[in-house]
Amino acid sequence: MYPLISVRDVTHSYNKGENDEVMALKNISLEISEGEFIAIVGANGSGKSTLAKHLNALLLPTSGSITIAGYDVEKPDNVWEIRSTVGMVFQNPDNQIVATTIEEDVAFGPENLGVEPEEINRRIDEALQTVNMEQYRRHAPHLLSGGQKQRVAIAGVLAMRPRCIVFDEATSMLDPGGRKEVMETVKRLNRDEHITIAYITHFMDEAVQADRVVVMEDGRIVLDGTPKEVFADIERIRQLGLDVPQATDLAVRLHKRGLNVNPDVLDTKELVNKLCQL
Amino acid sequence: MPIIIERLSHTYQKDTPFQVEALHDINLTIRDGEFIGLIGPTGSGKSTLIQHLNGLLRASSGRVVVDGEVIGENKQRLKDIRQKVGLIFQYPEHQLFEETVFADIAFGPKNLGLEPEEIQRRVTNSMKVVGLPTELAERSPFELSGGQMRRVAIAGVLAMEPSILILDEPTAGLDPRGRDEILGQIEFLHKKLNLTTILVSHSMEDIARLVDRLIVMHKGTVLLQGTPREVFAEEKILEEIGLAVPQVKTIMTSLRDQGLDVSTDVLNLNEAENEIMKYFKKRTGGTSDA
Repeated sequence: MYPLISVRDVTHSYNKGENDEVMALKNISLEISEGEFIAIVGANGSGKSTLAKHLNALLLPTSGSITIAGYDVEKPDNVWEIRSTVGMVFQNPDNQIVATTIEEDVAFGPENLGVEPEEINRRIDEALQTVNMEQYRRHAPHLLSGGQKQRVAIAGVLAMRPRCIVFDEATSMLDPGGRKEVMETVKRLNRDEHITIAYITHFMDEAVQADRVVVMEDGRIVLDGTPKEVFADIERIRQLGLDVPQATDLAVRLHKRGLNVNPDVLDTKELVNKLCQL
Repeated sequence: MPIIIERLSHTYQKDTPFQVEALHDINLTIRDGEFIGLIGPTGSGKSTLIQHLNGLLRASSGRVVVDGEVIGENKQRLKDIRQKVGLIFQYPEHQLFEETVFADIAFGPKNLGLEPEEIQRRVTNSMKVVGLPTELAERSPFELSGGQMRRVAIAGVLAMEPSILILDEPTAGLDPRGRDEILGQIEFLHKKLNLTTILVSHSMEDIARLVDRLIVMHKGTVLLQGTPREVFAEEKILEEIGLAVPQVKTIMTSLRDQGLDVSTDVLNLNEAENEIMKYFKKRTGGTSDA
């Protein structure tokens, strides 16, 4: 694995040089390897979305440098290459669907890339199959549920054949069923299609399913490690304004009450297994 | 001020090929000062229902009675009804438009034709309730953080001094701290001012903690209602329609499925902790006796 994305000492200021200049990123360095599933968490205003928008050149660094699959984001000629390498899925499913049928929507990206019609057709089939939406190919998007719309948005990105997908709070408007659908899809993309995932979320039970968790505060990366490493210090996590997964919280409480459970539990299944072995 | 909903149905684009029945024969009574949680999968009719409670949508059939008055019967009265029933939409910060925080919050009270002193009092008061520092009053709302902007929008509704407050996913997109702060303020308003409160949410943990009664909607009808304990006992039905139970309850159900003799009737971490400890104490007690 080599770094697909390499962010070196990046600073980003909004309204540079004006009275209301805001430094949203402060000397960020981060490498994301091909095939990695990384979650990015942090309070509102910590710089997560600003960072995400740098990963496909929607924003450019004020200082520092970024390369995506070896392409320097600062060179205007690289923009197409970068945007077809890194796709993005945003929060609101209704703002991302542009066409009147699902297949047209999925075709929108590859059409703009100038892909041949037959190839587009093949990609639509493939992308819709990957997100389990092939039976809706000719449906109108407005009749879908939130989770289904997000899966269509993901299919639209997949049709561009990206190596990495950035999800910017893609589940925050969904009902519990929709959240689960999207999370399952994301995990499958990473496991079976080997797509690199950068997943921004406020839901810690989603973050713990990644290989690696990066925590941001005030424009900086303050923690970076496996979910177990990051959630080991629950006081620190709370101090950063974040939640602790309920299973972890419960494990810590039971540990304090003298039960022989390790407090480093991250999810329901793990906690249940441990309790059953006692 | 009870809310009585009788045989309410609503069809969008009626008598066209696109007609969709969004609500079908809804019957509900919401008592004075009650705290209601309204849950349901996307498209189940929650937003359609709440828009009937202040006359933004008109019933296709049936009626809604608030405080003895049938909504929509007399159009002249809609302004009064909208003052009484405060409705906070999803992402309310998208509806801010004034140049200053003060002007934005004052917009509603001004339209009521109130005296400047009264407007001043209401704006100051609402800002205090939602936790906005007074020095922000003269700032542009668009310079504030997302969480602060949402508070400005909520303060604007509170400045109307409603007696019923309806919130459609007030915490969507907020970080955990912002979420806890907003929910804390809603709880405070409910208790302090005895506001009848209806909270639409996808967070089963928040709902379980806050509300007196839960109403579950599915495909335009009321599928279940009862206390959180009663409704969350129907784990299978909730999962089938795309909802969930609080995570701690899932843990207890799995433990039970694995053969541990624990009660699954828990709604929060405290209850789960105590129930698990009780089980292990009993078991160790049992083995030492043997």
